[in-house]
Amino acid sequence: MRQSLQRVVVTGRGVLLPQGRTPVALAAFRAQIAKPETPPRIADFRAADYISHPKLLRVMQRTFALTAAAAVLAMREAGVGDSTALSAVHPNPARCGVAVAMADISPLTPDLIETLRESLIGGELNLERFGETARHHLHPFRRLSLLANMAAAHISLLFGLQGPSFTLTSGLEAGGQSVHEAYWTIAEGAADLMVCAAADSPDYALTPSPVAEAGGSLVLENLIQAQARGIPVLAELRAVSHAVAPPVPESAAWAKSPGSGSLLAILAALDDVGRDGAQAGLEFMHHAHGQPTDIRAVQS
Amino acid sequence: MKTVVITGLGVISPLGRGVPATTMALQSGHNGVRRIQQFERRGFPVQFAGEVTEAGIPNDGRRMAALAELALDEALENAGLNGASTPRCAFSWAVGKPGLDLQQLTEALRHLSPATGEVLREQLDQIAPALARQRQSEEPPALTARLADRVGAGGARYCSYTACASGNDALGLGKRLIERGVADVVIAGATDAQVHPLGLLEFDLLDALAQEDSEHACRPFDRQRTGFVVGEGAAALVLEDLEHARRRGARIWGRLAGYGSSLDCYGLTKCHPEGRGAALAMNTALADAGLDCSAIGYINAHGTGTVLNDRAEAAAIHRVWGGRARQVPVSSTKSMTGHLIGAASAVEAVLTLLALAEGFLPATLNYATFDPECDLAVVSGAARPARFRAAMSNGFGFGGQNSALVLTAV
Repeated sequence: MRQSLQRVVVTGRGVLLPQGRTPVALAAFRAQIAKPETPPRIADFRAADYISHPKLLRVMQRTFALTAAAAVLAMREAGVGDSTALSAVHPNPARCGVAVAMADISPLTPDLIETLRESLIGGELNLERFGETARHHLHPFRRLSLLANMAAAHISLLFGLQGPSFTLTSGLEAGGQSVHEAYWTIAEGAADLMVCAAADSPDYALTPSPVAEAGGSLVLENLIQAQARGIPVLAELRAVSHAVAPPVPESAAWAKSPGSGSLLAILAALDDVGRDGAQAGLEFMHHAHGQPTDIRAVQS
Repeated sequence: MKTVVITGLGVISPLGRGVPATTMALQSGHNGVRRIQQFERRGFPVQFAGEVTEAGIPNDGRRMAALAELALDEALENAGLNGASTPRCAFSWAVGKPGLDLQQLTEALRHLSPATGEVLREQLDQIAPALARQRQSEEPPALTARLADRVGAGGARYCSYTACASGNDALGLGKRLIERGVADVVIAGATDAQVHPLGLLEFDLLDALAQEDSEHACRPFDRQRTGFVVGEGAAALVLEDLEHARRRGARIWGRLAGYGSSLDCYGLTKCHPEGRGAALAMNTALADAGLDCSAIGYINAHGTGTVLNDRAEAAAIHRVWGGRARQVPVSSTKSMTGHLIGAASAVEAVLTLLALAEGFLPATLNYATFDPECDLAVVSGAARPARFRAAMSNGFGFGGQNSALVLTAV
């Protein structure tokens, strides 16, 4: 079976952290790992700096905006975006998909609180009034702003992707799973390009401990296609078995980020591979559930 | 490539609990939509839903887990795996959107002065940890881990969510794990419980719900349709490598032969009007199964009962089947269950397998008026006997998420 598998390469990376973001150097990782007292939010993040789609921006919840922004950075490195449309890179958008890792999005929002406050009668919640006030205070698209798969929808609409789409919500393992599934989707020939992306935001997060804000993205591509369009190959992925998360640098503030943690760890590992100066890949190794995961670089 | 078969089924839905009761309800055309009983609905804008009526299921944040546990326990027993050791067993589950405990939130608000802006933000940050602790065990990753532990799945554990396509995608991801040789058995399925005030209001705000207060409000493909009715439930399917299943002498319900996933890339709420993405998912599933569309003897449509979705799905079926679109029987079992949101397509996969195994076509309830924009061979009135070897089950979601399964007899 393996003989017929397509070779899968990384052609784009995107990272957003409170310390900074950069499409190429990923230096923010090292700064972050070396100095873990991370501020929880990316203070100067403006979605409009990355996403020039006013209709989407109006309904894009912050976590999704971070995910999409990371994907924009990664796609830019892969040569898509700005003035280059996907169609210039690949003739068939149905063979280009999205694999997202996402934490549960908190439904605890200011507009919900306003609605509930106005729905109290004698200190008790009155559902009839709740129904009426909801029409005034809650955004009609509130539901959409809470669905984990909306990040994939936004990325799809930004780039015109029509292919396979997965949204993993498995917690820390989700990022690794999303990359793994994207890898196999290309390796087995079901797609030629997959955007992997993830993000976390602490806004009203219903998690017991603070979550560091972060976003990360990888563009995976069929090697033959990448070579044909002359885009630099950053690394080759070689999956040998089921993979989940790579080892996470414990000092990283995003190490416990339920959405983006393991995807960022893959990006960090990829950065290490690049430092060896050779074209190399990440080999996913089998691991038992719950054990530290094993990811290593191999020479391509 | 490994062949993936289904050796165990578990289901709980507005049609009842368990495979025998569900089969009977499906054959008799039972309507699971009724006036909401779970909360005081007087004056509330949504009055009808597809509720699970089984006694003893908690009516709070633990409901999704309880539904899942019932489905899983049945599926394991049905597969003959209860208590059996399955070393290479993985888990692929879709968990619906966890709700908020509005009573607890209201209680917290009583102790806070009304505020807006930054002060409100600070208040929310104060409230969040307490709510988080209460909700933590029902969060998708934690719930998935607990369910996987319950069934002894020691391999890969996938938790996913793709809106109303979630169930199909959880099954599709599970299928891929077996095909790659990562697991011999994958226990897959979905659970969702959105029949609570906030969940219902959110769908109401989207103007997606049926506009009539009636147990007959869900009218997929009917010209008078006005929207969907929310339902709840869970389904679990034991996916297994065919050789592994044969070695242990398992009963085989059918083969999970094909899976297709796609994106509409059209809008966040509206599906592509010509069914472009839906057709792509169906064609991908057929190609994955190695079948021509002419082999399909029944389509369990996504069929929500909204004007646009049903029209787009009909267009998609025409894109795939071309001049033969009117020859393939189509029904929407959501007319009986309501729309189970994240659990919908997993439950519908079970219902499709039951129809395949028992040899009948489920009916589309409440279908009375032909819509020329949904020019399909809709099975209406009552279920009817039919033998077929292959069926398709569709699941489409907000965000343009599309999925299709092809299920075949073995």
